[in-house]
Amino acid sequence: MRWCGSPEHRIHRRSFLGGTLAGLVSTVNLGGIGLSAAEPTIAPLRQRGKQVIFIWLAGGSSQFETWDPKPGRDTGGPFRTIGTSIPGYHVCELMPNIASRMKHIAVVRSLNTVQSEHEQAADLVSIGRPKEAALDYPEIGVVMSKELAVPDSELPDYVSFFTTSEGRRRPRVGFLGANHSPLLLEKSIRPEDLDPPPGMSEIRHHSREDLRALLSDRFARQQAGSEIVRGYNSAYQKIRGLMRSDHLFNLEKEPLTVRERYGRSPFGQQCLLARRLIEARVPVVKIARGFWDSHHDNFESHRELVPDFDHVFSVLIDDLAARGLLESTLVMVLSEFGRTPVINQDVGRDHFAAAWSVAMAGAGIRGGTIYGQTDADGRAVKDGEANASDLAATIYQAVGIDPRSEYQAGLRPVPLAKEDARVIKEILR
Amino acid sequence: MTAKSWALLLGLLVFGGQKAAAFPRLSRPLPAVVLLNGLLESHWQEQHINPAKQASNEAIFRRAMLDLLGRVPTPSEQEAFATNSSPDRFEKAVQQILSGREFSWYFATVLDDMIQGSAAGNERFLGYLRESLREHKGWDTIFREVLIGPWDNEARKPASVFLESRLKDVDLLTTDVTRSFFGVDISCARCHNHPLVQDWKQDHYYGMVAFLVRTGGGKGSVTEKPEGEAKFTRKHGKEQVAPMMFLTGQKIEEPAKPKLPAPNKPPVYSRRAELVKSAMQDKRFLSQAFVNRCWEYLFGRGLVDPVDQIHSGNPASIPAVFDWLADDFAEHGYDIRRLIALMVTSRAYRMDGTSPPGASAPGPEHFAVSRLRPLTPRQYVTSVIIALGDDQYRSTPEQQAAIDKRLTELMPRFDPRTREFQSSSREALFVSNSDAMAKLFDAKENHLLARLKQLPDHRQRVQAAIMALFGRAPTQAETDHLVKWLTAQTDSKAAVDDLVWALIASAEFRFNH
Repeated sequence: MRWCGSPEHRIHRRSFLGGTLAGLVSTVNLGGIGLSAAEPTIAPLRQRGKQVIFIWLAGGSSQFETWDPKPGRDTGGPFRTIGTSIPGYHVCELMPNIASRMKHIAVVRSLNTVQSEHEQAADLVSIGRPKEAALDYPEIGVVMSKELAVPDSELPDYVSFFTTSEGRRRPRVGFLGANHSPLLLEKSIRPEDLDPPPGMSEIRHHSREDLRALLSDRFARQQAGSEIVRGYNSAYQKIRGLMRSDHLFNLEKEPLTVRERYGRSPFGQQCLLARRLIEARVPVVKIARGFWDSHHDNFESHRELVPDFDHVFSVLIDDLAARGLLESTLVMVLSEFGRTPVINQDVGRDHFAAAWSVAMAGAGIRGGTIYGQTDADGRAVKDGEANASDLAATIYQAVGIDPRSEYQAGLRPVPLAKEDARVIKEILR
Repeated sequence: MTAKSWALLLGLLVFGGQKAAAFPRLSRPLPAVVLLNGLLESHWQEQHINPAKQASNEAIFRRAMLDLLGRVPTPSEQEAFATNSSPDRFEKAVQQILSGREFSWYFATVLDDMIQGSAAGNERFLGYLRESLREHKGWDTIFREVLIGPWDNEARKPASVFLESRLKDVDLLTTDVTRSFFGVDISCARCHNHPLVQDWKQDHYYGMVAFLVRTGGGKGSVTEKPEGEAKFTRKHGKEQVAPMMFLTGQKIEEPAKPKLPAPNKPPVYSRRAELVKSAMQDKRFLSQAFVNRCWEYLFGRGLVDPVDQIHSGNPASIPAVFDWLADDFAEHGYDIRRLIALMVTSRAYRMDGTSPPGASAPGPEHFAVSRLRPLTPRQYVTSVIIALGDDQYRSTPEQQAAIDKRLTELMPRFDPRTREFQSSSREALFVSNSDAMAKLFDAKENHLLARLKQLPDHRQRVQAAIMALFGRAPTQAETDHLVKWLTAQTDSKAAVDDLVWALIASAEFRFNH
């Protein structure tokens, strides 16, 4: 189904009429003024100071070997389960650290997202709705970086890592436009082009930029349509702050004990850097951890991947909590889909979107909540079915962004979350 | 010329208060551009708009070079143009640009963006478009070859790439065909009659799907199945089969099938061919969509805006111009060069960028003032390379191939030209700090810097730099300021490099104006 502002899409008719009836309709958030993306977002109080870390397990992690084990069943695989700090809830034995931190974590075990092809599923989960030919939607993280942006910040609103071979996806900025592009860390954990050209003094760098800005301003003063020059010059102004924040991307600045705690794996380093960025008030950070696409030897690969995830994720949660940042930081663990109940002839599990799990902690999350259920073999959702749009709406709601507020894309009012999305209130505070 | 356009012209001349001497003799029609200008001027009069003055010939020459060849002129080209004293030197230059090989090479990338949208950049498809422009194919021919071929030889085979990349999803195929070629977005009418646009009902959407639903294939081939229907369910209704129906509402009846279809033979009857036939009979949708996209490309905004929203509820901002151009285009064999020449030599394209003093600036939809347009990454990068170069650029195939190689590396680092253009810090960081940019300034291969450094003093350096990069002479105040700036730099060796960097990264170079 495509959204065009029709009442048939189960949205309140008045919200379709937009601003004219805003006084009557609480669902219209005048702060989120879409396409004219240059306009400032007037953040409601409750979303102020909120931040997000996305951990993207690229390729599709197995719910059986993590959050929704089925011990003793044909579909269950060889691992045992262990009890957690929530009475009655067990996780796979590969996650002992997470098991003892469940009071911080909520799990949704009942996702049915239908789409089980990598690219399309990754688009679906990351934009929170099916792709549409006529409208290029932004990724959830991009929307959040706009909505949670800190006014006059020198830092980027969104930093996205993807240094692993799988899940090399740049967040889609969609109709929000290029100035909402995240700072991409693709080659290393340090941004590209952050150092001035070799041999160029700071004075020279400034002096030539001042001249550039002066020439541009003079030129624009006489020109019709010169608003775009303002945006152009402001992009150049912003790089000063980025170049000054060089130290943020330098993990040597962390005490050795902290670095040891996160470990030297790329995932560990990225999570540590994410915490540094969160501490410096960057609103959105995304980390991708690849190699989960286990069509072969699912159990061997999960035996390697899950303990690393268990360790680093737990350290991150502890670190955020110790610094008083967990209250205001949502940590989301996502994949494009889960893996099949059926174990194939290569001892692998294939793509499976009909019944899988995600986990989250921190801002807005009611820790210790296990939402939804799958059947005995994990073949289908038994209770509390949710889709990608519901998940997106829940993510927005968790940090106080009204998922029903709208952007204006041309003539079309576009709600942040799909119009029929249902917030999973049970896992929210 | 149609009776309608004559009537318009006569009306204009009689009621527009023109002198009798300007009255045309019907036996010798006026050049089309005079008609177009007449329509523009009567619109501005009706709207009480005081249009901007004409920009200098040098300014529109640079503007047109960027639009039609995707780059700034070289110093030699600038000089040749400046020393030509003929009163119609701009018209002549446009004709020369359009008849050159470089136009086909570059403008194919513009057509590629128009047709393919976000899927643009396929080398085979681009090759097909370049060849088509070289052969002076009309837009109708390109449209037909993209949709139904024949894909019978190496030159035409890549035309099928458009369909090939959309085979998996008939909704995407339907939406993209309709948006790219007919300037209409009917995707909202998939679930229900369009809530905002009266014209588009579910019947239109599924009528278009019906033309395309049998299209299939894969792995480099596009085929059409002998069977398959577009089915949909109306609100509170039962599932039904949609007949083929073009956007005009014209329905196509499928002929009865022959009793014994030959096995494994492609179907003789093609629904896609019916779509092409309907569009060619109608002319209107095909013609106006292309006219509007070209106008948007050249003026930064469509006569109908947005370009995929051509419907009765969203009329053109200058209806007479839109209708006349669409008629003219269809009547003249969908000749792409003729259309471009008309637009580029028109009064609207020659506008200066400053509003006349005292008057409040007319809205962008009236095209009475030239507005800034960001260069595309291709235009910007090519222009930087050529402007910093050795003035030996003659657009030979070798030179183009060399530039193309660098474009592949550099283009993704720049902000794309979108409807709502936004600059990013990523581009600014790249231009300010990257090795790749520094390399372009490497004096060994950079002859502009070498030339400037050989000049005897800063004053001459400033004048030569502004001329080479901005295509105009500097003002006195500008020269004074920049000479002072150069003198004040502590690192005098690097000062010229930094001046050139500042000019290239400034708005006057980054935007077309």
